[in-house]
Amino acid sequence: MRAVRAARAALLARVPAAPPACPTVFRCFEDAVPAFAVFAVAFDFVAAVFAFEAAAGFEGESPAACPANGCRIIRTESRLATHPNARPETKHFDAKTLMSPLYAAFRPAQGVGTIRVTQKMGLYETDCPVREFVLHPVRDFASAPSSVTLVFCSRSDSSSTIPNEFPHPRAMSTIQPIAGELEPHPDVALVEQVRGGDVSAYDTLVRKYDRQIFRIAQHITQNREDAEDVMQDAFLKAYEKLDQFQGNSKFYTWLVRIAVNESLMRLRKRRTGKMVSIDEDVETEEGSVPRDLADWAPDPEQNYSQSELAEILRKTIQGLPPGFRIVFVLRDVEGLSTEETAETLSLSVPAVKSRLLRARLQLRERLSRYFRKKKGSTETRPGETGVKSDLH
Amino acid sequence: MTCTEFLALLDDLIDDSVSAETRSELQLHLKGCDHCEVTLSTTRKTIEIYRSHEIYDLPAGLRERLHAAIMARCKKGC
Repeated sequence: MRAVRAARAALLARVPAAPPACPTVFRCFEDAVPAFAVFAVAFDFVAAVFAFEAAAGFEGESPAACPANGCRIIRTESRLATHPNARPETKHFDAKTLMSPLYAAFRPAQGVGTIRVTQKMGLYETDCPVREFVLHPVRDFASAPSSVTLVFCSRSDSSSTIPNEFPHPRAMSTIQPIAGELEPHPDVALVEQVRGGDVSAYDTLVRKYDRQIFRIAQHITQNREDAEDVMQDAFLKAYEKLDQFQGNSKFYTWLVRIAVNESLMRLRKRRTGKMVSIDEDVETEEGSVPRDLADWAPDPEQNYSQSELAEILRKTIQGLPPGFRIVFVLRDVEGLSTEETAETLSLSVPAVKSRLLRARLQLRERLSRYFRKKKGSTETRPGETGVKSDLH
Repeated sequence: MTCTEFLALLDDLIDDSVSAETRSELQLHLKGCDHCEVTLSTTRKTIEIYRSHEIYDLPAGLRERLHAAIMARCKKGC
């Protein structure tokens, strides 16, 4: 609680007494936000308004008010906020979250390259280039309403692009821009060729992603024959349903989604009808708090042959609950973004973040058995030395 | 910052998605907490090891066989 109070005090100390006179701020929602607002002072085409839902009907009123003020709502999730045909989109947050110390990440900062609205709760992430955040509470936090709406706007007459001097954060680097936003992903042209009857273009897509699909299938089914079947079925189903591919996501994430579903179906068959889902066993508390404090030696994997290491890694990850394992594989091994992982698995972003943290911590703890530093030495202690195993 | 608060931000730190200010607070905590320092370094290493080692490889022969089967079906219209 002390940390919360300190964060709140620090936040309030930086709040101006009155709304700032910033000509670059887009105030399309200003009137509709009587309680609390965070104005993102943006470069000439994007502004974000972070507002508590103070008045009834805020959500209905604000988008309507927006065009009259010379801006439009744009879709921003995980993508650059300039898509001309993007759909309106708002996100709801819990007020408690914004009062947490984590919210300190949104304190004013010069030269911020992006609006980062993710943090622990994993709420939102976007790439709007922002010069400065200005926090402007009008009422006391205690009387703040219980939810918040995040709305991103851009000027309707804008043709600007994101300035190059703002690098994207590493976490976003796996996200490839969709067609029409920056430059079309190469897969878009291949998909169009296939739709036009060019089967050889599909050959290219299969060769591009077959290894990843096979790996994902094997991680889920934990059976090589099933993985082979899943790989074939996933590519065939994707081919059959290519007309249904909307292009809102990458072809790869769409394909992964098909492969995940095929893998789960295969597991169900194997377990003769028992329901299998990615929610299985996720209630475990294991790994929530690290217990093993032993450090690892530098390059601990050097103590094992390639085949031994592969076996250790296989056994270790197979011991994770399926719901954690899939999230870890998609996010950390296959490089999907948090949002893509959430979309692929039909999970919320906070659920993905929660599972990812616990998966990472559980794997770390289990691998410690093999990689921990031997006392008084820089050598690692192999798993055979009688250290208690937590593998199963 | 407590260890629990640090842990809540561990993933964001690993994924490099914290603000400069939060990063400073995290680094300050790390200076005085061996537990969290070890947790951070070994969790990073865990991810790195899984990223850099393919534990389910697709042998060339099997890959070609599966590939041929897929394309044969596609050419027939599945």
